[in-house]
Amino acid sequence: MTVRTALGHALWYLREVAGENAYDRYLEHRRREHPGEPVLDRRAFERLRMDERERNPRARCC
Amino acid sequence: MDRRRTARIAVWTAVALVAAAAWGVIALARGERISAAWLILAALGSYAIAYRFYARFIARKVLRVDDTRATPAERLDNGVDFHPTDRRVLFGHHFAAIAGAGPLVGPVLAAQMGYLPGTIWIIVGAIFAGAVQDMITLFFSMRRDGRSLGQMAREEIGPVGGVAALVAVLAIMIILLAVLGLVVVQALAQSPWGTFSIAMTIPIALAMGVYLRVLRPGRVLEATAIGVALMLAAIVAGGYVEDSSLAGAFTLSPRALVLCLIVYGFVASVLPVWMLLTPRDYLSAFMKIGTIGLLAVGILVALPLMQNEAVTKFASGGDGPVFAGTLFPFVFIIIACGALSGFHSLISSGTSPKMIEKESQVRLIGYGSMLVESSVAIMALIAASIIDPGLYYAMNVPVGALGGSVESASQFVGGLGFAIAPSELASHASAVGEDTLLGRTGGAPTLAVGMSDIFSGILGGEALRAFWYHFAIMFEALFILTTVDAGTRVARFMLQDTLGNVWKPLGRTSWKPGVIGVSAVVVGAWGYFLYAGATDPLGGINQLFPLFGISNQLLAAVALTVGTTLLIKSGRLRWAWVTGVPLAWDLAVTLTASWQKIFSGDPRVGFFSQREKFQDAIDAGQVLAPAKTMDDMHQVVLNSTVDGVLAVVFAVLIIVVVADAARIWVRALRSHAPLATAEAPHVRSRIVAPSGLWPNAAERALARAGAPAPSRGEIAT
Repeated sequence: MTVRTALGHALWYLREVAGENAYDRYLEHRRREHPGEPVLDRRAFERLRMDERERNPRARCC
Repeated sequence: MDRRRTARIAVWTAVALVAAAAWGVIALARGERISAAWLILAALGSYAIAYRFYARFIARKVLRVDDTRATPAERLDNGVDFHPTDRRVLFGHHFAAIAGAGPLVGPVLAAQMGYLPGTIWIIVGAIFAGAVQDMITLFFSMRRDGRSLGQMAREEIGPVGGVAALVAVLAIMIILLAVLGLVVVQALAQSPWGTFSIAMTIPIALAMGVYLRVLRPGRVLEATAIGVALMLAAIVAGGYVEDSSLAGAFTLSPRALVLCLIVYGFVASVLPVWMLLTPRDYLSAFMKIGTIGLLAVGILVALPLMQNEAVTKFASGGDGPVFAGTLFPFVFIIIACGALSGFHSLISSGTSPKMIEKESQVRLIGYGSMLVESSVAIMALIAASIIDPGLYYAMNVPVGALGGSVESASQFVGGLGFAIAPSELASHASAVGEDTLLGRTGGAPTLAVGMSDIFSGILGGEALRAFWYHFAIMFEALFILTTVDAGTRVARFMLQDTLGNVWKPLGRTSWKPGVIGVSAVVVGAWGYFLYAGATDPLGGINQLFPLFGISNQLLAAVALTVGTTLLIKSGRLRWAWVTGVPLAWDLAVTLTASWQKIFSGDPRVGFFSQREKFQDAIDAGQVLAPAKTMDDMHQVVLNSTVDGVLAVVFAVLIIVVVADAARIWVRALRSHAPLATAEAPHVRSRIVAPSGLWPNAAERALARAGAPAPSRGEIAT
């Protein structure tokens, strides 16, 4: 594995863990399940996602 | 293929031999100092064998994981909370959610009994109890569309057990938040450097929140990178603040810090999550993983020698100055997180079961994550055991017993049998940029001294020692505050949910007065214990930490009871020992500890005899040390009464849950067919994904054959 692909993997992993790809996943989900319908732009989507966490708080352990 | 099999057997035999040899060195070495490397080897070897053999046995034989069955993530995929998540990513999420300050604090306190009891319990407890609980709860919740532990207790045991479980969860949240708050208070009291750095995390988190909301929505990595850089700058700046005219403003008494924490906790829990909670969560998750990784590398490079004894005289005497009580049951109570932590069952029945891609991955996510947390606890034990024992006791004994000066502390520690000169105590403090380290109970400062020892040994030397100390304090305080913030919110939701049954509007999470009122109740509850702990003349940590341990183990008992009940109900009595034995052990430990805390005639151990001793003195008009005034005396009486009543409540809750479950066990045993459970029906899975961290040969072949690609995964950009 070259350094380049290793870095690529690391970046992929960080983006996944941080949830940066949530919007891409949403677009893919819309395309698959509701093709042709309008989609939210990223700003509106992230706002919605954040507000979702407002309603479903996640516990953090000790 | 025969040669490959032989090679595998050879490798595992070698792993077993190395682990056994390491255990031998740890257990048998007497009189000479051993290297921390032996603890690491024993731990890693044992984990590897447990993961390879025991966890696999549980997955296949006991749980009968079925990869033809679609998980809730696949069936109910809505792209938001239910969605199939790459196993490695979910492992990161799950670990970040279960790991916190607990495994760092408990082992430090338990080091009073020597490193051997703690090491054995952390490793063996994780393998046979903690990791089993996490994995099995994750599995059963996954089979029930991600039901919470409380819901499972209600559905599978009954309303009585369900209510008791709910009360237990709420109670542990309150005690947990108070104890964690106390750890922060003890670490920051009279420390302008630490207080300044932690205070700065609030504007930093707010700035990140605005960045993510307004400037660049969703760019989490950018925001986190900026946040981490600002935080490191805040630690450096703290050193200058300490020497400046601003120092006074950041030098706070424990009492003032408690008030700050209560106000912070309340405001943070009613503010929108995007402002404080979410950005702080990102910061703390990345700091957590980074620092734990750094600590592991540090220990492996430095390979420090253990200064602590293997087993100290306090193990059998029960008269330890850090916390009172004998090895059994108190080591198993004080070290909860890292060996067996009931709190994990809330995470395992929370978000993780809704994201898991394949059933067989419960082994990696549930069992594997807990093994990593266990290794964190071992590292904390090492960090506490490589510092001078004299310094350890001077830091972990309440200031009331030590007296206020380095001379009195040196004398007290000398009386325990550990020599440390007053000048050494002073120089240790100034080396880490603090005025004093005396009576800095709570574990975090001790761990920070150990970590600064390890880090400065490999990077930066003496010049960076104070930086590393405050770095470690910052990292612990940061994720404790995240837990406080998130925990207050979760407790508020649970309370609102319950109160909503009584009066509808209270259950609505969008009704502001309800939100504010219930938040105030939750913050008030943990704030009360925090305040009582911070001002307790006897020292709050040694009073409250056993209660925290008992409540955490109580929650573990609930989770293991639910697991055992489900195994029995579904006709798997022959495997019920997998959760039944840890449950029996957990009950023995928790109930013995509760019994002693309630009935012991030793006023250092039993809350009620402590109450009696101080009440008698009050009646006789006397003031008993370490209390200084009559007010102190009354406070001791009040605190020991409240703590004693809590110990009774916890013990009763455990008994109710287990007794209610036993009713179901008997019914299941009498029945000829397995009892019905709330398991979701089988739906065929279309996803193909590896079970373990690395795909095995068969899984690779399947992927090559053009089976539906694991979709997420091997793509890099």
